[in-house]
Amino acid sequence: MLGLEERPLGAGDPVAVVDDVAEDADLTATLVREAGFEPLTIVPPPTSIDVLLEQISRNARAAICDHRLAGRVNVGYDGAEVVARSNENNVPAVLITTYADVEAHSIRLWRSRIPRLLRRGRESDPDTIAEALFQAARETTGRFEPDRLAYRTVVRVEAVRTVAGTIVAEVVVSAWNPSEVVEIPTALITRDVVVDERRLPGSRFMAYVNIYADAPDELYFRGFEPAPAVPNEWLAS
Amino acid sequence: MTTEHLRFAPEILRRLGEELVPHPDLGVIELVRNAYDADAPSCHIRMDHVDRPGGTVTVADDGDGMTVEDLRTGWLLLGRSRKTDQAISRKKRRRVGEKGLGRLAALRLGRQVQLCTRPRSTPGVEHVLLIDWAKFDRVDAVEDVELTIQTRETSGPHGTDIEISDLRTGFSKEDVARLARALLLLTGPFPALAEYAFDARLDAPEFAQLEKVVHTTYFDEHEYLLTATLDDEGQAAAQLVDWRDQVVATGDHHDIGTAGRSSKGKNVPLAYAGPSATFQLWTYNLSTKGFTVRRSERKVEEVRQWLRAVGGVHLYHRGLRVHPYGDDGHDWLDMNLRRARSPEGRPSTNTSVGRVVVNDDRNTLTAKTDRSGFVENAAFVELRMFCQDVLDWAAFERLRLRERRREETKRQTRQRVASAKAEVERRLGSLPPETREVVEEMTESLTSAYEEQVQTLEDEVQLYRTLGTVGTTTAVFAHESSRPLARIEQAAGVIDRWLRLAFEARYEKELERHVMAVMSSAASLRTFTDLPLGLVSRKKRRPALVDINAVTADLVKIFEPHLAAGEITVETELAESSPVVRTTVAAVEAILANLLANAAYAFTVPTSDPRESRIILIRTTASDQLVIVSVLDNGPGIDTDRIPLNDIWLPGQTTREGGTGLGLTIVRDVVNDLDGSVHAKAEGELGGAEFHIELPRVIAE
Repeated sequence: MLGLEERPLGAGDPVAVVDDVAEDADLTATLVREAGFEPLTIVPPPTSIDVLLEQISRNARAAICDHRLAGRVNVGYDGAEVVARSNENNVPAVLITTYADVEAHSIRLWRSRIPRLLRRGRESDPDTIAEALFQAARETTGRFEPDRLAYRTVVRVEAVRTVAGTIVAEVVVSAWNPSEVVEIPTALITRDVVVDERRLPGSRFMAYVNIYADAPDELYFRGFEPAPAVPNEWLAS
Repeated sequence: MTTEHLRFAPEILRRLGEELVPHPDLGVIELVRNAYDADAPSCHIRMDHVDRPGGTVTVADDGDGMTVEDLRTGWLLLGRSRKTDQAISRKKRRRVGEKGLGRLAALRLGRQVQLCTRPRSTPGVEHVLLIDWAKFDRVDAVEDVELTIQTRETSGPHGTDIEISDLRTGFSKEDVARLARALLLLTGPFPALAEYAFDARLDAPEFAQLEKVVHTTYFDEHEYLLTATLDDEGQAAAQLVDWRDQVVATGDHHDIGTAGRSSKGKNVPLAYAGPSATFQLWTYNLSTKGFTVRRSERKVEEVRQWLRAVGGVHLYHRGLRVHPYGDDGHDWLDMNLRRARSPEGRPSTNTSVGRVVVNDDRNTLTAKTDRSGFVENAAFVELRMFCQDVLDWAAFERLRLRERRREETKRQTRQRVASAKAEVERRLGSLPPETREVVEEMTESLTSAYEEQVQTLEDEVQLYRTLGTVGTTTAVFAHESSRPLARIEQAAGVIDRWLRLAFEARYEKELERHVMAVMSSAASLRTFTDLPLGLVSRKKRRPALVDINAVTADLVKIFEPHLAAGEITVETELAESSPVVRTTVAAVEAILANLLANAAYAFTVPTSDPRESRIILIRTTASDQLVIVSVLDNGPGIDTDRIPLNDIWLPGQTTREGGTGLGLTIVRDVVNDLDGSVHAKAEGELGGAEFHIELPRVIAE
């Protein structure tokens, strides 16, 4: 296994390119080569995510993975999960997708371990890809950019609704932006706290959030806990 | 060795009494609850000069009274609940009184208290006890003050009178009104449950006024009555009955458990772990039409006023109402929130009245010490969840019902038209030939006029449906175009970089412009896919305070590549002070996008007018009350010969070949929805069409 502990990611290192569409994988591979790495395409991805992660860690020093992997083949996972788990395995990985806005909820679920989200098209040129892979490599050694550092803060749930089959909570993170509502899958909350989703509106939680992020789609949430109740004497008139 | 006791300083009385219970009326209600526990059929509260300090409150009941022993071990012993040792009264009432802290709060409202009680068990005898609170201020410990019970003969009937005199502070009008409401709702305006019959009255004009409103009930004016039960095993059942007394839906435990939970079958509780309960909710349709349909002779406003006084779901514990459930600001079932989120078929606290009746034989509910409802333990939370699930179930059933009715109405209408036609023809056949012809002609002309009208409406519906389909398919294709488009952009980038390296100057001279053309065309295409996707973003349909300047700037950015292709420049003159309107981003975009699209089209009309440039100007201005959005262009203006200015707003009216004629209709409809106004000039300041939209402004605090 090629581990980061040996030496930092550098020019000529093999980078896995995971995609379900051969043409897209080929294009991304070209960009990866232009960026100075040796691309290694995995098309289509295997049915088991564990097999895929094993392939990546055995053969590559980093990975760039498409988000929608089930477009042409049957796989039970998406790119966001692959990238998050690869980073957990200390193999730096970044996500590439065309549909970042639409897929925000499935990506948000893993966002804390997705250092960079690249949008396919003009935004993903060789320089951007190299920069993203190096950032991911730094995160695996615990060095985070300021906008990726999480702070414990209050998260207020305004409403809960179902969007395309996913139950999402509209939350406000005052420490990030008190006047903007952000949608997050309620699974992010309910995997930490036992709570009936319908009782979420109006409740407050403490969670780790990267409050220096610029855009709402860069925000990640983890470690939800019920916020302590407001002391009674604060409420007394 | 010496023996000592814990002793309590007199200040503890203040801590546990007036400081613990937030409102004086809550203390008085506690005395009334004591009367209920003493099996009194009624309780009477008199107030003398209570609007200022020094007044007197008397609470008198005709219950079983107390013996000296009862006084010693019950009334004078604070902190112990009788619920546990003597849970059921002689009349089989389940006792509601708690630990006596509310009573203490009431007694401490005045500087003196006189209790006079005539026990049912020893007729002809009354016990009198005087408490002078000043005496407690002069001692070190509560038990240092001796209290004497005097016993004397009486001819009065059994019962208890408590007189709290020399009030420390007066009762405000609001306090009296709150007490009156609490008393009136204590047993509620609901159809009586015999086992709980109890009448509490207050001598105050506020009570008399409110009593009239509360006790003139309007239960029979309901549109639906929802009744649900939670049995001892935690199993729920519900039924929905309409105003004709017809059962329109019934639900079992599973139906109720799944309603409102987004994933069917997931998380349905095997049983609700709350106390057994009955939940009844009367919901009202407060529209004149609803009243007419039911042939009601009462006024909508009367019902509205009554619901304002009694509306909401009240919680009755052992026959008496528990404050504050159902009070203003205590919408404990989140009815208003749920209605705001999905209004279909959901009542609010202003359009319904209900009660949840619990006996709680197993004592699972625990009153909070300050008497503001129950502690939110598992039993209470599950009871509330049961009620909320029942509300969700009823909302779903009403939606289903409405859909069924709509289908039924359509079918019936078709049948009615057919049979009416047949009837007309039959009757015509029986007319004398000379009149028959005239009537036939008139009938045909009338029928054809109606058919024409129906056809127009059907065409319009068809048009909207088609446009709806255009919208949904555009969104799908825009979404699907993103991927090949990204591929073109990426591939063009690769080609550009590699050819530049390989051919250097020759590439720049001969090929670069073609590769750039691919790239810029891809960029244009990107705006065309982003536009519909941006418009359908759900976030934009969320009501909020919308800054018109910001939306204008964003939309202009999206339209710019498209307009630039037609050599059209968009200029903006935006108001300096932030023009904020309460609406959705989608609504503002609908207005601006339609006006921009119209203006852009106007420039494509062939004209001999030698214009130097094509300009669209969007101007926002703000006054104290209004935000004004103007969209002007220097195109040919509106051709009023082809379409009168007043008709441009009508659906289907267009001068554009292949146009739908709906753009301006949508603009007008959206503006009307926002309580705004819109008007147009055929030839405006820049020479072309000019539109002004006025919207109510929200001033940020």
